[in-house]
Amino acid sequence: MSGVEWREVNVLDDLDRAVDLGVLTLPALAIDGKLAFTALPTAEQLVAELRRRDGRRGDGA
Amino acid sequence: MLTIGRLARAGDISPDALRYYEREGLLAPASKTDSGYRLYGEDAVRRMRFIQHAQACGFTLAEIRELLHLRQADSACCDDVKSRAIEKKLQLAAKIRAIQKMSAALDVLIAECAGGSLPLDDCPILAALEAVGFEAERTP
Repeated sequence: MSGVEWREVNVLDDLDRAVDLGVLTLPALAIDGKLAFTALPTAEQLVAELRRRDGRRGDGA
Repeated sequence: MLTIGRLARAGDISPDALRYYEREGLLAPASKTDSGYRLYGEDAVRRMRFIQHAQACGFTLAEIRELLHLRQADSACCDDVKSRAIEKKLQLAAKIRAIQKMSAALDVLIAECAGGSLPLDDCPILAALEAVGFEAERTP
């Protein structure tokens, strides 16, 4: 999957943003600025979620 | 050994609170006398203080139970405890934000009402609380 950029964030460095996203448990994973996983997903779950979003973009959604 | 009364005095809490801790699986007596009175070891004072301090930091009794289990787990490390502390801070920050929104909504309501002896049918605060979509309109 091309064009995927990721960044690890220490919530203590930006607590406000974590609260904005609705992060209440750690680790959490946000995709495109939205909370996507409230626990660490498996590789399969993450790939499936990225593909789902990628497909939606491809559909023009 | 300490009786429940002495332990309660040491922690400035009630014996009922200690019995509640026991029911919640947080602090059990080391033994009981023949007549059924609870007896606590010296470590109970430390454990009771741990519970009180954790409560003061916002941890629920269920979360404190987890922390106590972690403390005794061979496989646990500092990161496990720190994660829970950060999660608690996140939860508190979210609650603070929610309370700030409530306070801001009240500011709007208070500003809209001139007070005085208007009949309640004309009360803008009551009218606003009744209005559909109140939350979306009033909170930032």
